[in-house]
Amino acid sequence: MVFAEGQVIRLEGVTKFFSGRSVPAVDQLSLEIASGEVCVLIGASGCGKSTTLKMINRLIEPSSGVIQVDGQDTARLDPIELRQGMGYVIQEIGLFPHMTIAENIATVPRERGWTSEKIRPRVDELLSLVGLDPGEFRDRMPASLSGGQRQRVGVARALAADPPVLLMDEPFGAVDPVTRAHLQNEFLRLQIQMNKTVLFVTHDMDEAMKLADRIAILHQGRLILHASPRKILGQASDPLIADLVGEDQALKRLRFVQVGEIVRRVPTVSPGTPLGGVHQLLSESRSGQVYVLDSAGCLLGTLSRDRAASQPSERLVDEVMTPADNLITPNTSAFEALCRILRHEASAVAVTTEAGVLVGEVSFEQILWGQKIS
Amino acid sequence: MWGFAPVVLLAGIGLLVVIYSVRLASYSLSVEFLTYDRVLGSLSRHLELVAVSSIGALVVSFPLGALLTRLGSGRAEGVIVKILSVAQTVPSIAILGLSMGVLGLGFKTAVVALWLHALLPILHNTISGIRSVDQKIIEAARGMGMRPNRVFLRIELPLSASIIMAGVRTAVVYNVGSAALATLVGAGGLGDLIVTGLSLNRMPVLITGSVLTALLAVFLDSLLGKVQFLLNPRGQPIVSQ
Repeated sequence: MVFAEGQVIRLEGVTKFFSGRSVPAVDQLSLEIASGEVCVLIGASGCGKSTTLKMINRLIEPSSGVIQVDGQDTARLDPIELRQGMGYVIQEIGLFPHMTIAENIATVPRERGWTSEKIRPRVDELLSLVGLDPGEFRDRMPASLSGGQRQRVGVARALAADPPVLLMDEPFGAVDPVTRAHLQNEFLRLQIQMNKTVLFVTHDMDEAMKLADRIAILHQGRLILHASPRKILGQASDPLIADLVGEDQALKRLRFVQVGEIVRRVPTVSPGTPLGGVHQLLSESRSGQVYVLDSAGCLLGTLSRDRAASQPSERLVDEVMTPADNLITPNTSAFEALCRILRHEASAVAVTTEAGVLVGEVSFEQILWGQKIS
Repeated sequence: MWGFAPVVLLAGIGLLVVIYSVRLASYSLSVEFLTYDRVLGSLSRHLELVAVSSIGALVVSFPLGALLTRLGSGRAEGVIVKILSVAQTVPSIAILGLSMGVLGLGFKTAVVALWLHALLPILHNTISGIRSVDQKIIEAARGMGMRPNRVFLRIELPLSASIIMAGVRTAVVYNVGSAALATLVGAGGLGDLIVTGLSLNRMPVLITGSVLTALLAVFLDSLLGKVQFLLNPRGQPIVSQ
């Protein structure tokens, strides 16, 4: 099926006062979410992130300011139609416990008056889309599903009428970390297919980093930063941001550095070279290794200084080298490269293209350096 | 199918008691009084009192309760529930007396008194039933663009049906007992048999009246329990109250 393009969401000077409180829950918030973008709203509890989300589908009316969706002022639209045009996902508890999975998913289509001939195949399609077998799940009740399955149904329900905008209010907050990671990956996979405009609320910075195109950080109702995940990690000197990012911000930053950006050139030799001819190269190599390449530039193996010293110098490098393994590609994150180095207790890992052509190596020093450039 | 076994069993026991008592009465002085016609007449009058007062209470309390939950603040709700709670503490016989002072003797007087007493349990359960529906679920429904009346009919009402029916059961069972006092204001019912049995010291008459009243209460409770079960959506807990 063809998914509709997303829509721009624009907030201008939006403020919300709740009655009986002198401090606004949301204070002069201006924010633009581009079409097809995933914007994650993050902040401590009570920072106004859920309020902001609910003002977009008018579950809460702003005290002042303008909210536009696709250029239209939402205050002038019928709230029912506005909401039906936006998928709404909350924690799994939001499923209707007295309706089957199929009835839950069919909520918006039924409100819109679709015929049951049109609804039935759509429900099956959505169940398959979120990775649940329609035959098995269609007629089950929410209570008989696991937390992760229920959350998938919640996403399917929000997508039922194919809305261009998705509002997600801590949708994966109630599931265990492993299931959450699964659901996040599924969400990213679906988002590539669907290209919705998504506003996603969470208090989990790791989740935000993983899913967001841009992250909007709220603090006491004010927007303090709206930027890409990588940029936010670079600004972690700000104490408010550092608080949200956590102690491991330096490590997190490595997830946004690709090894292709920090790879260094390395000494290489061809397979037929005798060991005697590589001592000079080995002594100059910063990681103490030389890389053995075939004529096409593909990596065959590595030779370390210790290994070369323990063998007679007339032997050929390809007889004594360590065969190539533990390879990574240039688009791997520096974080993963660091994990490889630690796991294999190596001084460096080789970086090759998908085809196996050597690009260079990444060592611990370069990862430290990469951490700074990000 | 077997779910209705207790209901059928109770009806059967009632029938046997009536047949036995009427037979037994033919050997005593109460032969003139205890006839099938009279027993059935009292029973149907009793049912009439309970049905009219309970349905009347449901027709008033359910919409009122639902309306009160539609109002944002709980202020009006609190006032009305408080007034009815006070009315509820007044004993049925006192209400019957007061009602007689205004309306005189007869069926109407008894029905008004019973109706008054049935209002609170139904109103109370309607309000607390609808209020007990998880706000998150209601917010999800609204957030997806369900109209307010649809949220009420498709979400709030089915999820609170069990609690509301529990209130109806309480009211009906209560009324079966109180309706036995209707004889005091000349409204008839099974109370006729009980009071006559007591004053003439005729056991078969007394027992017929008492046992039928007791069985009627248990029978109606059981029957309404089935209705409650049928109204309750699949997979939702049943409230017993």
